[in-house]
Amino acid sequence: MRFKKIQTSTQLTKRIIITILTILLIASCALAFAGLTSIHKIDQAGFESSDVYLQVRKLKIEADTFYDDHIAQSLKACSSQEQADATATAKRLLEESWQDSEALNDYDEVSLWKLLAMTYSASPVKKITPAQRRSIKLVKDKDAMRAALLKALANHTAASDDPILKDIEALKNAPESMMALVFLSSWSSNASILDKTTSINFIRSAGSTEAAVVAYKAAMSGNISALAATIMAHSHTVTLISVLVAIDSLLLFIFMAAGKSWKMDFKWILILLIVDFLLIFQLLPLIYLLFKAFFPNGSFTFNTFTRLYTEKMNFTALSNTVIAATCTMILGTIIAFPLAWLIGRTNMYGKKFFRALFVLTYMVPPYVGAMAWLRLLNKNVGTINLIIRALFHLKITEGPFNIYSLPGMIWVLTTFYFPYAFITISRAMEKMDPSLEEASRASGASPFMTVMKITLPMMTPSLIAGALLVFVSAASCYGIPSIIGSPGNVHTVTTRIIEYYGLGVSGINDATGLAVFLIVIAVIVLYISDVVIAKRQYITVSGKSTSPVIVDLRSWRVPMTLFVSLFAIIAVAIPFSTILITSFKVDVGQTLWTTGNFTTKQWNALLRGETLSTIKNSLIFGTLAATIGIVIAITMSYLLQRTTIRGRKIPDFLITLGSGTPSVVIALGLIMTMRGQFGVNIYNTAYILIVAYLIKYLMMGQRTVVSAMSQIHVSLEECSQISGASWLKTMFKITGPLIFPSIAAGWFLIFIPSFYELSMTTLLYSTNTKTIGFQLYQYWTFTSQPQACAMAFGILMIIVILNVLLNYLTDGKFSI
Amino acid sequence: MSITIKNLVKAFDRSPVVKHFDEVFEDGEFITLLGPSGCGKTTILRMIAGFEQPTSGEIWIDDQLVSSEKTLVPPEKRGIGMVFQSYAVWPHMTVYDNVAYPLKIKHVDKDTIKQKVERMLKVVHLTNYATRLPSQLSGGQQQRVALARALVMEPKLLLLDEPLSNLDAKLRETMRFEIKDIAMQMKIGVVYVTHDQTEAMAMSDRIFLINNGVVQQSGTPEEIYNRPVNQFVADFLGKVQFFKGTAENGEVNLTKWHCKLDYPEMTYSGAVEVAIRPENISLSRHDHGYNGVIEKKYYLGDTTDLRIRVGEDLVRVIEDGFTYNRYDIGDSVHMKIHDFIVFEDAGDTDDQLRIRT
Amino acid sequence: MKKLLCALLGVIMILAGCGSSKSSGDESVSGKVVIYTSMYQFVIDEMEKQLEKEFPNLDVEFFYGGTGELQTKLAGEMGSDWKGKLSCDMMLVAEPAYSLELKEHNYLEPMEIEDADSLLRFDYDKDGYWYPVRVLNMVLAYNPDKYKEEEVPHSFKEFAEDTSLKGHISMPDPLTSGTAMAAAAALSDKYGYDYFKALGKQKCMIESGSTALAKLQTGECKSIMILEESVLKIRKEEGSNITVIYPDDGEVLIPSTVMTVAEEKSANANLEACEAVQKWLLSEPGQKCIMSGYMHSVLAGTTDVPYDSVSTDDLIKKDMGVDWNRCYKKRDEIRKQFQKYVTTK
Repeated sequence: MRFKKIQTSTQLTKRIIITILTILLIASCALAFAGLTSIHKIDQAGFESSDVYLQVRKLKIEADTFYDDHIAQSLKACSSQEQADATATAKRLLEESWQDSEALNDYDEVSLWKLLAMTYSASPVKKITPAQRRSIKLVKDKDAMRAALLKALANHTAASDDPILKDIEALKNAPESMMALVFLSSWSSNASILDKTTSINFIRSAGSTEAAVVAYKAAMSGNISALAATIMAHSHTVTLISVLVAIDSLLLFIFMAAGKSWKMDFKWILILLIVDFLLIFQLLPLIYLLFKAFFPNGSFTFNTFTRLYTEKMNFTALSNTVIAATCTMILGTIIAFPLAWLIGRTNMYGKKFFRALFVLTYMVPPYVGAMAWLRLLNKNVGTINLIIRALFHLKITEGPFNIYSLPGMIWVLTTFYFPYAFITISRAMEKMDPSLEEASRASGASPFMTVMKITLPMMTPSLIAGALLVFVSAASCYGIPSIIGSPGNVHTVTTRIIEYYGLGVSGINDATGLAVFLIVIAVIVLYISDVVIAKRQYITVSGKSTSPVIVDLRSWRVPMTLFVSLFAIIAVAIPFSTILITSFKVDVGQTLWTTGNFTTKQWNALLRGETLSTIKNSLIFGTLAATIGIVIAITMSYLLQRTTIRGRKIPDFLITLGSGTPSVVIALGLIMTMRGQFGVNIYNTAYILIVAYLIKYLMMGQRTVVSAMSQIHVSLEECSQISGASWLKTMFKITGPLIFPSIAAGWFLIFIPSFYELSMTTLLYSTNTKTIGFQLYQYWTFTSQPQACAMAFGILMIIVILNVLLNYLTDGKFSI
Repeated sequence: MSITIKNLVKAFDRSPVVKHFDEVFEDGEFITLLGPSGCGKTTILRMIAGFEQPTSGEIWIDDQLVSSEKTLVPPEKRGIGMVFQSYAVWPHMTVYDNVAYPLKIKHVDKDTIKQKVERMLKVVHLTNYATRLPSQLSGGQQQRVALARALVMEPKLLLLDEPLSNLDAKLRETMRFEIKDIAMQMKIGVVYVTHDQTEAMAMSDRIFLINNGVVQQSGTPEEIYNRPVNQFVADFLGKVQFFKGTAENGEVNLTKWHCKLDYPEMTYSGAVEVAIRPENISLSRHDHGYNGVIEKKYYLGDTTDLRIRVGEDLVRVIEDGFTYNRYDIGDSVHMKIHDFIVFEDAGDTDDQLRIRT
Repeated sequence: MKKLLCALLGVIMILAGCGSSKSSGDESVSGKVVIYTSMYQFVIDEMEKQLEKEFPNLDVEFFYGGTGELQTKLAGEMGSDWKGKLSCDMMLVAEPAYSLELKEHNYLEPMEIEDADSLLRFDYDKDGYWYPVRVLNMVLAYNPDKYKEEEVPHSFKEFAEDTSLKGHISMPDPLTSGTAMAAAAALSDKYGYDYFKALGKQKCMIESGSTALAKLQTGECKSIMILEESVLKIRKEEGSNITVIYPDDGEVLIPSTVMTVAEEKSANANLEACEAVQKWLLSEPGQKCIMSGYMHSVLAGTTDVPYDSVSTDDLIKKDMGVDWNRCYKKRDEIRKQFQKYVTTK
């Protein structure tokens, strides 16, 4: 008996929900269609903005009142013949204004006067100057003046012929249009016919005279209802929301059908929210940009692309980018793997120290490192070059190394981006089942053979994942190519994009066209990594908590440590110390030891209130971005790893897309779509910054969490569910703690670049949302190099301190 | 290959895991290190393999010092085969490649490799699986791959770390005997780590029962089973029940049972604990010894497991299968004790002295 | 006694009255005005302060960005179809070529200034769409600590033709910097595109001004093309010895403009306030602020100059001059030629 009841109630719930969802789906599709039609209509009519019908309605209402209260009275004071004649004149004036004679034949007298009032009120051209206003003010009997004006208009007489009018300065030699203007504006104190704000708003929405005319006609014909006007006014928003609702209801249906449970589960809501977020902030700007690139004048054209990509300089830039990114990827991985192995699996000295050290280069903005290398390896007076010349008694004045070259750029890119690979590989290495390597040793293989035949092949998925991260990041980097590449005429796609933006509006489409290349690369890379890695993903987390076997390097211990130290010095210590030293200099050209060249002025400047407030801003924005990002990452990982819903890879795809897009393009896309056209206006707020950071940096955190979750067996979570815990509780109490180190690492991977982010911030910030990256940029471009260096080092210290602090507070659990 | 271990101690961060191990494993012996989780048996095994270094003490293989505080010959140089609890079969190689790996390392020529690998696969009954990937094999099959891999290089010594603990009961039994057979056939010495005492007893020449890093007793299965030196050993192997009593003049008085056991050779007097194995008690309706009432009976096919109420105690008795139908619950029966072991009752199970049995 | 007290009170009240009436600025100007500018932050801060005193009821918000960034931001706001509404009301950014572009696309509001001819000593738009508000100056610079004066070029011509300078010169990128574009236009006007060819042969490095300044300091560069203001700034604030060389063949004066956004496209539609602010900018106190930012004044008859600079009128005499129309219309061609000869390997 009891079972039956439950069945029927679930059946009922199921039917109710399906009905609701279907209704929502249909309704939203209808609305979306309505919205799209409105957009099309508005475009066709040439309107500036979509609220034109709302505005013209308002204008019309005022015109109605205006006519009833004022014009009607004045007209009554004339004879009917005069009325007709004056109206005829009004019609002619309208024709002049509208430059259209046909359409006015259908309107009656009342409508014509209303139209005239609206047209002149909203016309940006017809204005009464203050001087003229004064002369009109002097007239005592306004009614008489108006009657006289109407007469003049009716009889086509000049103002000078009329006793009342001839004294008015403004009407001296004035054409009839002026007389009409004076007539109409005679009732108001500030010489505007209808309400000034309404008029201004209307002309803004309509834009051109032609568009305004279309609007007037629509208003007079009266077939735009208030509802339609509202939908039209917000057509973009309506379309956006209805598309979202449609997608949401469809998704909800899919989720529930797949899970066969028709109750509202919190996790579906969360996933839907995230999908919506990604759709609005990630996809919409991108689609908008692409749309404008493919449809510059409303019709589809491949022209932009063919033109762009065949231009020699762009083509060279493309190949440079691909070459640079590939080499960086290979070099970075080749470096990262042995380092990760030596630090994670052997008994070399100072492992913890080196592990922390190699992560440091990730914690400063890329161009800071670029500046340091520039100082060291420029072919004229680079410090390292000078030393080498002295050491080997070379008589050259240039070189031997020239950093302004493709190899130079690759080198700096590698030193900056190899930590991505290093971190990914290290973490995977820690998780690998040590008995796999032990079995190899027991089979007679030396440690080296074991690495080559066992460790390396098994780590391939993580190697590839790390390598591809490096590739995508290096390809979309701007700071390093602009400082290292440009002076040597080595151009990349990112620098070319910035050069196109230098053209302003006409460059936007070209810039987008080039950006498409990078986006496509990111997509291909994602596809490759998914297909290749998925095939060979091995669940390698062992149940036991044995620590990996430490390979005893014996006689190699010291040499290996030296080798790692050497690399650490070259890649980390030298550039960082250059920055540090420069930060204390007064004159960059002198050495630190020259008298008077040492100063703490730059460091003192950092303690100013202004800097502290930017630090506060950066901390807040970075924390928000990282925290929201990690929540998204966890939810998306769950979707990817624990459900079998089709299309669950799509959010992941969108997220990777964001990282592959150059920062400037993201910022521009946001500017063009987030100022209210689609109902969302977060321009000049902190939110747009946080959104920008999320779009750009979410991928790093996402990949970390996904790979961690993939190594936890689902039975652990199923056990929690059986015990009665909800999805949320399971996430908090079981999964979360298990993958906490990865969550922490992912958090930092989002936090750090958001903290010092620069390119997007310069375009999106507002007076209250200045960040530390922006201040660094200011110092660098407008103050001095030493000041910028001090700031950069300060940023580094803040991040390191934060890391140490969190590490300490959570007993070593929360750190990169 | 003989293994000589002298005064072996291993401590991790000051807490000792192996407190003392001093033994010799002869060539070709099947040794089992037996004990509960965390007793240190795996650590000893790993030290023999060379994956851990002793804190103090020495390990000799034949007459070469391989492990000590100061020296450590790496695992790949010891010529010892090892099978891991998690099988550690490499997922990116086929079965053939997994087994061939140790030979490839030694640069053996292709033909010899083929011959040896095929032979090994035959031994473990995996000939038809040579081209499969481990992900396509069951647990038992993977374990056999691991075994074949360890044996293909014909080591003199084979180390196994709880290799059967992830298999189901039936497979465990089969594999048990197979491993033993292979070891005997190939004349390989084995050091086997397990916590399953049935396994240990079935396979071993000698068993080392370890608890808390100290060897409690070593000997043949029969020795340890019938002549445990302390309560821990008695308890760990087989089933046993302990009863308090007093000893006096060659007699043991079981306090609660009000019964006396004759033990003429005993010289000790004082408080004792008597260990009785359930299979050493037999039931009859006739007045043989002490009586009680049957409270529960379980049918196990080949045996019957009964609980007899004697005063406050519930005594466990194991008889043959037919007994199940001979008695009912509530019946009054008499019990005869065929064998028992007496321990001095000093309170702490770990440090019991054996008296006499 | 009483009479004295009354008199005293009276005097005090009169004085107080005088004082208060003096300190009150123009209260009729109200509302909000958003200004995009690329002037230095400290100049902005000073202007904000003074404007607050001058127009106490007006909420002035300055938004600072580098010229390139501001232009990109504005481009984003305008949209690729020149239809978008802007989030500012006035702009103090870039050079007349940009103003011409914006004027053509109906983004500017014409503002009248009385006697503009006698007020200003630089060109302005006759229809009132833009006026010069500050003068930037593209010159050469060198570091006397590293190289002697004889070793460095004294004209733009020498800069491009003296082969001993090969690989040791630098200039900003015309493709991203409006002022650099102006200089490139002026130079190609005077010397033709052969000038670019020569620059290319010199392996001139293309990078931002601040990077180039640092290269002067380290001696990596012998001579750089740079805005005078950057050099004056580093001379004053850091006591650097880097010195300006006013080229013999004329420096390039770039009168950066003040523009008011067309009412219907502006953020706050506050034309009255814009007019007032513009007036203040083109008055003495406004220009004083400008000069404190190391830029020259646009007001005719001003003899003051920014720190350490030379007379503005003298500079005007030697000005190479930029054809702003050409700079705007021929922009693509100039870019292409520059790319062809200078930035392609």
